[in-house]
Amino acid sequence: MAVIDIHAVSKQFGSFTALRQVNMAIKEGELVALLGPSGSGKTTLLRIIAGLEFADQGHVSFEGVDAATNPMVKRRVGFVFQHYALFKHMSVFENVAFGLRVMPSGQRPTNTDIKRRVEELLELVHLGNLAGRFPTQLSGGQRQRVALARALAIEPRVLLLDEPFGALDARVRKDLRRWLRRLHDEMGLTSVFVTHDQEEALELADRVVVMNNGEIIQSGTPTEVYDTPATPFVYEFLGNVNRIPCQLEGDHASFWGQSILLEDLPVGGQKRTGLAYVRPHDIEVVDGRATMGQPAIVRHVSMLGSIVRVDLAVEGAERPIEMELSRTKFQQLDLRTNSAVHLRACQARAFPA
Amino acid sequence: MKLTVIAAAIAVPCNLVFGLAASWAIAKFEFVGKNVLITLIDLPFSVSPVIAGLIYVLLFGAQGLLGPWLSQHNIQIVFAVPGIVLATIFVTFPFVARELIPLMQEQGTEDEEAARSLGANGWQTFFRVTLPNIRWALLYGVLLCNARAMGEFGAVSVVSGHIRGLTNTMPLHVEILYNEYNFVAAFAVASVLAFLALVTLIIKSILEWRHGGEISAARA
Repeated sequence: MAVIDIHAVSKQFGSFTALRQVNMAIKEGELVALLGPSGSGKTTLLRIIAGLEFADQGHVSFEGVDAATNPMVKRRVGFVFQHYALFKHMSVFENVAFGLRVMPSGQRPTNTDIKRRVEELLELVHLGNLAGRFPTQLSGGQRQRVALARALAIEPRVLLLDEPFGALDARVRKDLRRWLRRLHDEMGLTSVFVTHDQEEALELADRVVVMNNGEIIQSGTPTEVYDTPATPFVYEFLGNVNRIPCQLEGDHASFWGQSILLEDLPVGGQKRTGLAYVRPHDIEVVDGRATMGQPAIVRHVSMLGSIVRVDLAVEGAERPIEMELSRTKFQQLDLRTNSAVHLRACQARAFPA
Repeated sequence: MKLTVIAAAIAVPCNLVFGLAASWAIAKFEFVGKNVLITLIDLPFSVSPVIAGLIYVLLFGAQGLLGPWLSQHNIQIVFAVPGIVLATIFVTFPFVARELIPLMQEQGTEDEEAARSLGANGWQTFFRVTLPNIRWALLYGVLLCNARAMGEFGAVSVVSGHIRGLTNTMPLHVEILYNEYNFVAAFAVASVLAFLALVTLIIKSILEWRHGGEISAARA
């Protein structure tokens, strides 16, 4: 059952259209990533779900109840802000306790209950020993976890996170990601997070929703959006890709002397030009002596830890072709700068140019 | 002396409330007429206090716009305490708001949104989040406002009528005594004023020294 239903939501800021006719349903227990470049409307959508912003048209409902009749408090939504928005004049303890202290006097827990609950939450985020510190005395990762504990204090059904790892360094980011995924599963939350980092979205989410220009371009599991992008935009946004001019005819695209079947993008009968999209790791070197495939010359080799990236020059192409291969494979092939090779694509999709 | 304190005691809280409300509105919300409001707040800085005093006379004086109505209802504003208070409020109008607006704009609305998302209502958000964030800048603004309220001469001079013991604030009293060649008394009163100014300066320095960071947004 859908916890959150977003129906035909549009939002305008002056002359800028942030969202146009967005439809989306979020299921119980899902971890959804809203992925897109800046200005794509992803944060606006998140803020509308939270009730921090209101849709000009359309409506959002929580478990069938229209959110417009349901103020922010009753939605039971936890929101984690991009810059954490911790209360600077309050200790970590008081920050986490805030949501409990402002409850109407009838529902407010007693001081001992608040203390117990806050201590539990701080244990959960591994900050039990920092309760007395102030936000300015914490590192970025610690602040992020305080912000999470604070949002979890009101026992939200839905957790919304705005660029949760944006301001953290790579190492902390990786740890926090895994930790957040565990937390989501253990607490049985429904979570939505906004990111412009495709790696983060692919690693963390059950479902990735790709947005651009205020519209949802594609929504699917990480594998779906990565392997079968719906548009060239999604292709380029979800990682590096080579664009190779090709000929489209019927349901086939031909380039580099190979012909590829277009599965769900049939293009009329007549011949026309298009672009084939091939991921760097989907390009391979054909046996050196063969004459099949596309001739190319190795221009540059960069070692990127476990993988090796090779830039290749192909005659007639203005941009070099990028290829990624494992270290073992690279050593077997014994590639050097200026060596001549033949390439083929083992997976590709083509779109009309 | 008493009048000076009364005028300050009324004008400062008035401008505290007004300044807070105005800067809250200007910094945290978008609305039509925002620029007009900002200009209005700055008006007392650009208009000479004497002119302000004259406008009060024009409005509330016996021959003024509202004069007949006021005298019918037996209300005296000009040449009485209300006039002095009004004049003081006008000249000290910008101090609190000018101090708070840049700071509140810099702080943005994220903290308030966070409070709201955690279930706080408007008052709780204001008293638990907004006010603590601006407390030192607010105190600083109030201090400046108070200093100006006690020292104001021009506008008050016009509306007071210099009735000794009745509508005479300390700066006005200094002038009268001086014009009467009563130098000893004039300097004595001036010293009291100077002493008040000194106390204000000391408190101001302490604030700047201890909470410079929170006030400095307004300075930058």
